Amino acid sequence: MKNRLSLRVYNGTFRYRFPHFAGDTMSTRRRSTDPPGLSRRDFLETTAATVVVAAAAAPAIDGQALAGAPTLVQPDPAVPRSAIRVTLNGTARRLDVEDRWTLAELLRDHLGLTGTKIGCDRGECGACTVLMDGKPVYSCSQLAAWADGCSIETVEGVAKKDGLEALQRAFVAHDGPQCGFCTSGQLMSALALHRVNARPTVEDARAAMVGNLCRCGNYNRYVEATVGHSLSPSRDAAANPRSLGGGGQSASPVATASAALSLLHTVGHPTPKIDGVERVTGQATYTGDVKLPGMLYARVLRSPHAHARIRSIDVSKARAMPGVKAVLTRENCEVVWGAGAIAGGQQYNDDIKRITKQRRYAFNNPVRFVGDPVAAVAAVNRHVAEEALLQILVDYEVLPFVLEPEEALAPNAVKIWPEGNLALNVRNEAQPNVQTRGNVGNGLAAAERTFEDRFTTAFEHNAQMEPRVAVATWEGEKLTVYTPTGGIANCRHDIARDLGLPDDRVRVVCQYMGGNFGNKNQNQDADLIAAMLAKEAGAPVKLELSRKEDFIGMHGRWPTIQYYTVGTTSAGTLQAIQLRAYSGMGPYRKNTGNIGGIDLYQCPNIETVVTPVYTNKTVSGNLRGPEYPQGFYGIQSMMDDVASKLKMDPVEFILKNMTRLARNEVPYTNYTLEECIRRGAEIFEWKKRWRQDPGSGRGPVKRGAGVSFMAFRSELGRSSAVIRLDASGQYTVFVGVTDVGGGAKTTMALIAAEALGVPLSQVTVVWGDTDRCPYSVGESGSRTTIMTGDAVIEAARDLRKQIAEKGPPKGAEMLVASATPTPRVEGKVRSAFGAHFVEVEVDVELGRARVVKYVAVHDSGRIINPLAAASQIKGGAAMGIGMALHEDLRYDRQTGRPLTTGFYYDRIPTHRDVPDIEVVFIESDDGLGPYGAKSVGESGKALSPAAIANAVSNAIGRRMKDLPITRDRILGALA
Amino acid sequence: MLGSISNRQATWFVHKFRRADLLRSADEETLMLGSISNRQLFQPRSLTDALSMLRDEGPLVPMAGCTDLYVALNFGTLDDTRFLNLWPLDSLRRIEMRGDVLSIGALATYTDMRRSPLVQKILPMLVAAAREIGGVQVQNRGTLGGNVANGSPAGDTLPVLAAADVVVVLRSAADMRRVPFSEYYTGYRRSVLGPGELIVAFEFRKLHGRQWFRKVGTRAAQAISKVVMAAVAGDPPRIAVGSVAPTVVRLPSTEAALGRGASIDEARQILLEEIAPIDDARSTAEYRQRVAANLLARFWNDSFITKSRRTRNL
Ligand SMILES: Cc1cc2nc3c(=O)[nH]c(=O)nc-3n(C[C@H](O)[C@H](O)[C@H](O)COP(=O)(O)OP(=O)(O)OC[C@H]3O[C@@H](n4cnc5c(N)ncnc54)[C@H](O)[C@@H]3O)c2cc1C
Ligand code: FES
Ligand code: FES
Repeated sequence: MKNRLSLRVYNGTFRYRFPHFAGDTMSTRRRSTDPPGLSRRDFLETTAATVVVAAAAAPAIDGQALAGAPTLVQPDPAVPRSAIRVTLNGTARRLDVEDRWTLAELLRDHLGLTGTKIGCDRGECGACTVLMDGKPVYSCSQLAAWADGCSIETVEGVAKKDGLEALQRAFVAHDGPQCGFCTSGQLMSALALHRVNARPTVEDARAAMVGNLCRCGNYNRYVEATVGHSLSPSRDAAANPRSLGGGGQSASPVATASAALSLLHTVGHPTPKIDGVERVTGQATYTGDVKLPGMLYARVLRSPHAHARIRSIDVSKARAMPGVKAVLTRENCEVVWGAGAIAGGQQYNDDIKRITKQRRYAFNNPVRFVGDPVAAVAAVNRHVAEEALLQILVDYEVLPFVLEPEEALAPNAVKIWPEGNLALNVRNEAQPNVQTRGNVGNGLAAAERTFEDRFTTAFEHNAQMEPRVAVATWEGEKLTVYTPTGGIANCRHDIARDLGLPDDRVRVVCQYMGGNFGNKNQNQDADLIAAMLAKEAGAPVKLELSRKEDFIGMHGRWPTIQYYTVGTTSAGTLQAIQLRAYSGMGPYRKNTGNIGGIDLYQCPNIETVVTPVYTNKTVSGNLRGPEYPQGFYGIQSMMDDVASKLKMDPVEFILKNMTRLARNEVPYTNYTLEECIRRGAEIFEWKKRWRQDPGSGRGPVKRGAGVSFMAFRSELGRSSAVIRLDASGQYTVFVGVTDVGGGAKTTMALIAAEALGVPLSQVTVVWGDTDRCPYSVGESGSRTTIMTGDAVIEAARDLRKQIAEKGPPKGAEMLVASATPTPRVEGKVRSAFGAHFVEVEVDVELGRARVVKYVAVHDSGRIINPLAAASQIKGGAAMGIGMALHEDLRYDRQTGRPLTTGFYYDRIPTHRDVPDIEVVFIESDDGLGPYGAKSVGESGKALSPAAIANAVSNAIGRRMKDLPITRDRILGALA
Repeated sequence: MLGSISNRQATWFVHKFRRADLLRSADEETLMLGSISNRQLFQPRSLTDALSMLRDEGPLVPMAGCTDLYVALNFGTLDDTRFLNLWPLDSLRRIEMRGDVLSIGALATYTDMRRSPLVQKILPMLVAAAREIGGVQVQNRGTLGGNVANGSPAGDTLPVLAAADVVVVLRSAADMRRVPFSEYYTGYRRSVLGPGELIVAFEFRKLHGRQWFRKVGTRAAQAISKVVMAAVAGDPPRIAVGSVAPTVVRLPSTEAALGRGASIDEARQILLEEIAPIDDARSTAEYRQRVAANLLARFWNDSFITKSRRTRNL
């Protein structure tokens, strides 16, 4: 019964049902969403019942019957309303709308059509795209009242009774949705194109969807789905059995496997996401779509100062406002956000969180960056909550601030913490992160050639398409939090610890989330604030962050300043590498601030001193491959430059100096780095594209090529899985994944089917709910497939044994197996390998750099789902284009305020910035991990900025030493 | 209260925009929003209605596609509370020939202009500019009148209008006047548009010589211009640049020099003296100088030296 109650959150999202799907998608779809113990029928009935309750709570807003469109907002007689007539998804409607509602608000909040998403609420991202009289428009930037007389089509209306629209099927087959948050918008734009142009070209498709951003970077897939074929050339199967540039062309299995690996039944076959249909029909329920009866809306008041002490806060006026149900400030909420600041920046360690001196509260005083939370309000609707915030009077004593790490270390700099600005390590000591091997002084002294340079990288925002949001509700002493988290187990534990509750009194639910990209395998301050407001108000609370708040109030990749000194022999063999670097951490130590990449090189003498420094910018945290993209860019630019000064081909330099033993000493479980590099160079035609004489191209548009390479951790580790077999022969796999966009549910289903020896259609996956799923390591660090996958295999093995012993279950019987393996590798390091090859075109008169060719070769062991894995690499590479060429959170030096507060100014890549990215997998087998799988998720992003920067340098003959490589910087370098 | 306009015709309503930004303190203005106050939206049914409302209820802020206004509201840079909704006024959307003059209604959207055979034929550079603005969603709502009235020096259509010497047609309840584009702006985001006036149309005379348009933004699409240039290879040529001065500028000395046969290097020098760009969040003065000069050379090269290349996004 409790399960049923929880299902209320699905209100309105299942009104469109598709009884007759052809092919795979149908069967997998049904399986993936049915909650255990509830048939689909129960599920729909429950939903319907809730609709009735909800609809009864407020007068119907529809002149005609509004099937299942609940509204939980009490009409406020003081607010003017208008009657409008619209044709909504083909049905004529008369609607009574508040004049202040946007169209998106009407659709989502009042008609339950939550397939239309809000990514920015200000016309920058396209997640809210609907068709108005057949034309795509941003529904967030339209008044609902303006729709009078118009026809409106939303994603929910695209599928017809007889099944999915062809374009929706193509979106599923080509793996369009990663996280899926941008999908409805992309689909609506593509649909409008298809109606006027049934056979669009790639350029047509890009132009039609250019107003739709995708932070997962899955542009290639959306274009492929729209034009109906894959982009990359298909390669000769013998030479390259698994070229998956397109991959999504069909869902049919690729029958070839590389020689090293045996062919498996389900694993290794390109498979569309088992929840693909939910994601292309608007049925997938993201946290922002959750609506509970009596739910309040919350907003957070944030500091406008980079550094200030709060003398007093007066909330009396806000509290007295009608409709305001709870107000929190530091005075009545002393909760410490454990994951918000940890000595040493290490994660998931209660002891560290306990001992850390520099604590971060849900509300801080002093406030230490523009955006630091000061107060929060819960009220009957958003509008009232926002008005209430403006009634809160805060008296600030403004303090001096510092923005740049090197300035923050100056002796007279303002101290952000009493202990100073050097961020404390795990022992609460003000010490930089140091790594040494051999003796760098001797190495440099003995070197025949030495080189020195400085590289910088910018503050890059995570910018996941789904703005942060949390919904919290208390049932008696039990707290349930709906929140976009990649790790329900860790998130629950964090919330419980921070609120002083036992773990089992907290439940965390995440059915779908709009992108992870870092620090989401833990709790957010929004989770805590929503929970405390809900407690105070005695009602469920939804806390939504605006796009701007998400940009300035959360976190992004730490900016770095990296000084390298490198010594080589005259033949170009590395002798010594020294790195002295500074990372800007913002005012709280949320993460390590490390800089990765030195270990990519085989070098006897190294010394790295990375100093994480407090500044009054937004907090720095993890973003896809926390320390790698910026570190790889720094060191691989440095080495590319060294190679060019030694008159060596950079590929030769890499082959000569790349890691062969991990950290120069420990063998890898297997080693294919050289093969990745050689294969990539061959496919890319490196010799032809790389310019021996950089900058030598003729004319204003110059071309150049760049390379980068990696070894990327692929450790084994603890995770859990439960598999249940019922008498109908259906296997239910319970795993604590949420699927942040990498397709983890599908991956687990494929692994389970393989391990159980049954077809995929016999497997149902249950995910994303701590009350139903066992522990999972959570989706971060590119390890879900490996760790949770191993647990699934282990549980399947146990279950098969039970079946063999006891026979299949009959009647009400069930067989259940659970496993929590803790596999380890002793004395060796397990690593994925890869190399990226990029060609750019630089217009030296305008400073414009464009990526024109991209080949990514990866050995991630056996690829469980080639379709999703290739999308991951493509997406990472696309994101890397943004980091390399555009993205930069800039600050006003006078006021300490962030100037980059949204997608538009941050310039995350668009459809037009991302070319076809060809992905090639070399699948090696080290006999470890699930069927030999290694990590995938972060590696594309780690490699791409370095390769792009090297390519630009090769094209123009100038080393690009600062990211992003903007048009101004290119012209500046050429001046 | 609303003069002769019946209640039905002029349903005005209070509109409170949702605010996404909530940074606030007593002494801070820039980052935070003005207070959330009631916003009124006046809904005229005809141009005459609209002009009467402007006269009787003013000051009102006209709202067209709202693509600029929403951003301003969201950023909290807009204090106005009373709006006049022009969107339903179809008569302002016409694109037609009036004698030998092409008239484009102020409410014509970028999509309307891109699709119009008349604009394609007579003002291909306007089509090129429209194609580069935002994405499809913005092109479906953003209007030419809005781009001009918004008056951002980076507005992509402004150099086109300047190079074409367009005439701006303004109407008030009492009056109608035609203002040459060169006299329309009086300073940074300031114009001759009076409080009781609306832009109703733009009138173009046919141009001689090939038209040319280039936009240089911060990324490949969906970007505000760092530099934008429109030019006509007539005799003398006409050249206009955006984003290099407080308003869009024509380059009379450069035009004259090229007209009398000066070399392109000489013309580049003259251009550098004619513009005085600034550093801002999108670009540096130096970048803008160099790129403007480079674009000039490219225009010249494309028009007279090499065969035409199609305008592409930059
Ligand atoms: C995502 C995005 C991308 C964009 N990209 C670009 C771009 O690439 N290039 C570019 O130039 N612009 C761009 N813009 C800005 C915008 O789309 C244009 O300036 C647009 O033309 C404004 O038209 P509108 O009808 O939406 O104006 P509105 O927002 O409705 O109005 C803008 C201003 O003009 C006034 N106004 C409007 N119509 C009239 C009238 N008839 N008479 C008097 N005053 C009037 C309004 O009062 C207001 O002050 C972008 C905007 C967004 C949101
Ligand atoms: S464009 Fe509407 S939500 Fe982003
Ligand atoms: S799939 Fe596009 S944002 Fe995630």
